[in-house]
Amino acid sequence: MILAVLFYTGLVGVLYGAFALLALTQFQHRRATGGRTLLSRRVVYIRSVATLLLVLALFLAIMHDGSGFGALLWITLASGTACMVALRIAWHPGLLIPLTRIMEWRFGLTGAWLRCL
Amino acid sequence: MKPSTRVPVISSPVSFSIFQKSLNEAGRIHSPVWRLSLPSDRQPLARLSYREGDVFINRLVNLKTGQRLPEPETLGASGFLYPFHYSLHIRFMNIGIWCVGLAAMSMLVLCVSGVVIHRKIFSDFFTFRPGKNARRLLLDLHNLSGVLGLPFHIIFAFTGLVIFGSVYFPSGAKSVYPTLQAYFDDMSGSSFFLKPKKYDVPAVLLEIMAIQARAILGEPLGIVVVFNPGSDVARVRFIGSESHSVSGSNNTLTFDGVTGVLIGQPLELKPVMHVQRFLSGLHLIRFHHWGLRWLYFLLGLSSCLMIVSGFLFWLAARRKTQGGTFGFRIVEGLTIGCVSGIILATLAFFIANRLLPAGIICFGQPRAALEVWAFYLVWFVASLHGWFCPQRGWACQMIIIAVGAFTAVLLNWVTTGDHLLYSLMHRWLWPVAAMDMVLLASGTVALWMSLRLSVGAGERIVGSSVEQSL
Repeated sequence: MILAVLFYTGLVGVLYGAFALLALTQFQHRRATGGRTLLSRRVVYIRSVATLLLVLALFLAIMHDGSGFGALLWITLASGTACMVALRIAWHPGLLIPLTRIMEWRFGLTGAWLRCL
Repeated sequence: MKPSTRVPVISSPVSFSIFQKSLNEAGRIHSPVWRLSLPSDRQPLARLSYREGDVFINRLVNLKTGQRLPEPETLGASGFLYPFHYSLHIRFMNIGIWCVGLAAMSMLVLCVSGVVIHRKIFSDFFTFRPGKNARRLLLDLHNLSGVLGLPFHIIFAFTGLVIFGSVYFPSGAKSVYPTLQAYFDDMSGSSFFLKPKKYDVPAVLLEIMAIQARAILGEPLGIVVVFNPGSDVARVRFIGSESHSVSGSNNTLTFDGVTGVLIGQPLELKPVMHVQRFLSGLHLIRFHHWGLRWLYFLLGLSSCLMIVSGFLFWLAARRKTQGGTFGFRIVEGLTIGCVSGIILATLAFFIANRLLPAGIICFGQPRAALEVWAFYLVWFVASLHGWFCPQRGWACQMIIIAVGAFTAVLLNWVTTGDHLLYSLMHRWLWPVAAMDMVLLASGTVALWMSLRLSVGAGERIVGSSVEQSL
């Protein structure tokens, strides 16, 4: 039970991160979080990373719950987490400021990953 | 709604010997079919059903005691609200099913057309502006709930149509099968409604066949159906539990009821039938996955939000230009009736279930029918109220919803003793606790809404007061 809760929390985290990245590549949401305009090349790169995260979440869901439940879980959680991102931007966009800053770093998400290491 | 069914689920395999007497009885009265649904996490009791003449006998059985439960004197949610959502309880010429099908088809069309007319679908994908003006806010809410929940809305409308595909599109089945019955027979394996020549034939015990079925299927049994019990052509079908996959179980075994010989193996489904089962399973949610069930519930709420915000936006956009027209007033009344009215009606159904004394008969109607009458009457009155008093309708009905929701929780406690804390402490009462918590949350939201709406109660226009409160 605890492992299942941890897994689903992680899955929500991955999907939330993916949708937050997608949202923050749009100018009006970047402005809400105090971010600068991104170069179009970087926008493409960040959207690719977000897409990879979405695919990763689908893969994880299918591995954990099987193809039927996994696909269903992914699609329903995707709707829910996208909604959470929209509400977060509407009411407390400040909580997404760290992600906005990371997206502006010179090496973007790769740089953030390297710094963590 | 049926307090006698609140018992712990028995995890050990069921002993079929306690049902043998009922099966023998069904054979004695020449019932064409006898059916047993075994307990699951959603239904802790076994359900027995068979026909006696024109009357369909339906009883719950406590597996611990082997006793049949007394008639619950209520249709409950599964007997009233569930069939209501797909048939409206209008059985004449399947008119109810056709009406619901039309609504589902309309929803599909609206979902697709909504996407097409939403020109900035990608740039507005995460857009929600609670600080903007009321109309903008309503439109944002409508777009957000509509676009983000789009897969869910489409899946539910479409799979609802698929389930009744043979009603809406019978030409498909009729082009392949001589009759629709032949189609259903093929879908379920084969027909076992053979004409018996002799009754009171000694049969093999259910328990013996059940042991064999469990061993072959390798999973818990879900349903047992006996065709022509007690006759020389008795057939016993065991169906595996439906809870382990989205599509439900395809594992079916059939035995000769007289000799106990296995005569039917699990069906080999064609790919198209696999798809049909999967789509039906998506809609019926008979699987055991608590996380998904809650997600379904939340996304169902998002569907409601999409519909309500669509209604309100429609009204707000036309109020200045068409506010006095008859058509506008109809839509306004329907909106209140469909939104708060149906919630009130459902609460009235719950409250009547707890308040009506056992065995009551009023105007010739038994208790179960009186509960249904309470539902329809309250819905009708709420719709009329919304139509004639649109300016105060929302605030007034919201406060009644709040009172009704809290009353339902209180009555559950008073009449059954299962208060929220007690329910939370006992695993088998968690569904009751969840229902109580949802009612309390709904009551609180309705109370908050009524307070916000009361601030703008002086406004002539309902929409504007709703919008201001939002």
